[in-house]
Amino acid sequence: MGDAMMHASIRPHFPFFCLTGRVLCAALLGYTSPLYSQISSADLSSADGSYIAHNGGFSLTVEDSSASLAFFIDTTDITAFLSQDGTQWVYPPQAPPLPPGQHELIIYQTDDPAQWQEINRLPLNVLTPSGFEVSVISPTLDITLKTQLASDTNGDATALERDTFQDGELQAVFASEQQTGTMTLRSNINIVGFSYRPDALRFAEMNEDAPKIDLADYLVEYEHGAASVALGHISYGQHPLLIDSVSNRGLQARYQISDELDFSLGLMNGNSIVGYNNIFGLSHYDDNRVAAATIGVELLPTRPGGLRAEFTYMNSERPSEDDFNTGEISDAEKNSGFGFRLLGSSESGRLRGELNYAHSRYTNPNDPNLELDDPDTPIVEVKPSSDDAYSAEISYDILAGESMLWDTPVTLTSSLRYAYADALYNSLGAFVDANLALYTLGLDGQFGPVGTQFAYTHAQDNVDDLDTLLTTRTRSLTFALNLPLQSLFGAAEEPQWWWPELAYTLDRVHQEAVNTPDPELSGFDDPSQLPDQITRLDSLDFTWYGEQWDASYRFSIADEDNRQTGREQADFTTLEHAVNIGLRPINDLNLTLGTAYLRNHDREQSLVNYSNTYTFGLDWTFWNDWVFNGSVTYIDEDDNASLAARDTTTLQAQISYRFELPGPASRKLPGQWFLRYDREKLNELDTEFELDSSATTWTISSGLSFSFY
Amino acid sequence: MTHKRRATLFFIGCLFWMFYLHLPQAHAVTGVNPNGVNVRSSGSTSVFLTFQNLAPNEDSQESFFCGELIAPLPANHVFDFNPCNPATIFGRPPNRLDRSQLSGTGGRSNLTDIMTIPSSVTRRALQAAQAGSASQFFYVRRFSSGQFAVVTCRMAGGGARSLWP
Repeated sequence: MGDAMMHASIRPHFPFFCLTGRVLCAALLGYTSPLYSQISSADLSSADGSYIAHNGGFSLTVEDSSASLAFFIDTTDITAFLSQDGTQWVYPPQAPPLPPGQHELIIYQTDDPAQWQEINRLPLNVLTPSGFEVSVISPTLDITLKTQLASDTNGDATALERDTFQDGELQAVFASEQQTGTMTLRSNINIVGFSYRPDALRFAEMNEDAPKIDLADYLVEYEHGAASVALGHISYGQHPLLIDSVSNRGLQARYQISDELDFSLGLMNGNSIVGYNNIFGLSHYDDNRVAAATIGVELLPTRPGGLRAEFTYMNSERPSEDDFNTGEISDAEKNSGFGFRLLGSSESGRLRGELNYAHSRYTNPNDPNLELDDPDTPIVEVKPSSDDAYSAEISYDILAGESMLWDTPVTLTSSLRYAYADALYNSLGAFVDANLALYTLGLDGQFGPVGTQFAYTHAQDNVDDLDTLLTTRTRSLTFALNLPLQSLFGAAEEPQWWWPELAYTLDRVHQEAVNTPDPELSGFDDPSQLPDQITRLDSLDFTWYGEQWDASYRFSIADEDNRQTGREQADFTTLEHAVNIGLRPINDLNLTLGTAYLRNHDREQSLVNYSNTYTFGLDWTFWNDWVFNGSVTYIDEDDNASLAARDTTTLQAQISYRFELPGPASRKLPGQWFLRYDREKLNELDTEFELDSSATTWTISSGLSFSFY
Repeated sequence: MTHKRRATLFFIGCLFWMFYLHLPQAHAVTGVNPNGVNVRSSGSTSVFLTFQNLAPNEDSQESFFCGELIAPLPANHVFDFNPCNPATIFGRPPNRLDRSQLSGTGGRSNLTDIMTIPSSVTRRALQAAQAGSASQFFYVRRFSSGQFAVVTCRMAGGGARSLWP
């Protein structure tokens, strides 16, 4: 087949069955058998994109058998492969296989060789050789070679783990999608490898037994009509108090029973895991699992999402094991519970609301990790307890884009939220602040380009009002205002650079004790231990933009005011000024300059700490695919009492080259090489601890990376 | 034996006893800073502690939590016996969370420790408080010298002066 020469005038659209002069009606494609497709003009009205076999051929009927025609699949001329028998044109199975995928069959009338006329354009959807409508396989392989060529440490610097090394890393991703009819199969597998075992994925867990090449994650999804199943690293749960987007390895299934009713199920490991072991995440289901099921009901079938109810049940258990690559304080836990969720909105969408309730039975099973050296020492058992949590949230668009002053569109949304959790409430599937009652009031507004947010939160713990327990009240207020002055005062067609974008934020938190627990039973035997503290942060940011530059200035004050008896002077004030400038004098050169000044005042100690930071950065594409980038940072810290001083200099310079190598099937394989120099020097003087230290560390490293496929 | 000789022997004996008595004082942990902290009433808490003035060969042994000291012992002290009521042991921090290590400056030998309270321990303490017991509980670290240093954990809801989770 040769590429078509579009030397004819083409009508953009040929009306269905519109016949003028030489009337032609072409139809295509009703797939009737794998070997032969019989299409008539009458079938055109039902051309629904059905797929045909790639090697089955097809036929079509053209009522005017005397017309001279040309046939194209997209831009490929296939006329030579079609034979005419009266009004029927046949592309036989013996002809070259049709290209899989979605195409168009374009028919031209060529009676006038100098001016072809497009007379119809029809969908031509072809199955893959394996019988799928869509079959995409996208493997990628990235290989990186890292080398530390030289290094040194001087003075008090900590010795490097390795002076020099040559390491290799790989990342292989296999992604695929197959689709036919209402069935879709997707997969994604991610494998990583490291030649240096301490870098291996599970080294923290398995040490020297950790495999160098390991499975990071995978997901296989199968959808068929209203049903779907997923296996691998899934995410399940939409109940914020019971199970909320828990992402572990396991199985997930969904089924849309009817327009009003749907069902979903999630079974997964209780911890986040990687590796080839426990491949489905369900190998230790008895004592390490999160299992949950949800039934959802659309209460307003005519308006999906208008009012929806969900009922969720969860049963979970896990041993005292950390999640993969996560520093955490884990416990043996066992938990079952149910939750109810109701969410909806008004027909206009201006009023929205959500109601959540959860009941959870939770306990900590006996954990050998907590046993003392003397195994006969009894440990107090945790009593299983059943507790409740609930939350309610409502928001309303007071103004929804209405034009106000100077025809400016204005939006104003108010929201109110209440949340409560019993003292011992806990769930393995959600992070909930237990023993707390919380109210939040919010207002978000947009007046043309001016945006503002306001939120006030009141929280109080010790919901059981235990006399022996400290009760803490926390009131916080946040306010933000964004003023794009250039949009407000500048001319749109001629931006005036001197108008900045202005942003102001305020965060104020007041935490205080609201009771005085019995000192003998609570340990609070000194008034200074009862909290009463206000923290406040004010920050003001200015940003200017020009064609070849940008600049910003930040000013902030943070104040920590301790008010508890005996600690009134334990206050801190931090002042910050920061300036950053970005320059682009030519297309391939970016320069950054920055300086920051920080002043921290400890009123109780009458001590003022100062910090000055200076930075310079450069990013320069100096020759085709050759790039140089580097940065220098200098930080100088001292105090007014000359107790301690420290200066840090960090230098980084790198030259890199991007290239492409010829790959299979005329593909280009991208690669990159780099050579980098890093140096850090730290001088530290502490007169209190009689410390006078100087440390320098530098490394020269190089790397080469390739991407295959 | 002359009076002078007896006096000399008495003086030497006093020196010996002073030296002997001084030994365990100088060669055993003398305290912990801070000796009382506010902790969260739900969830886990981590606190940085320094056990001070360890003897050269004094090792840190296990640490554990308990709900009560043997009455009427004062809290925030170092004892030469286990001060915990054995019926109120809440457990020990798992070994994998042990971040204690020797430190010190100016000739002092200290032990820095990150006290990690698992949420199951906090839950035991809160359940005890709900049942009418004290809400405070204690972190105890045992040393090879036989000394036990005690830190009071004051249960607070997570407000100011509570330490990070």
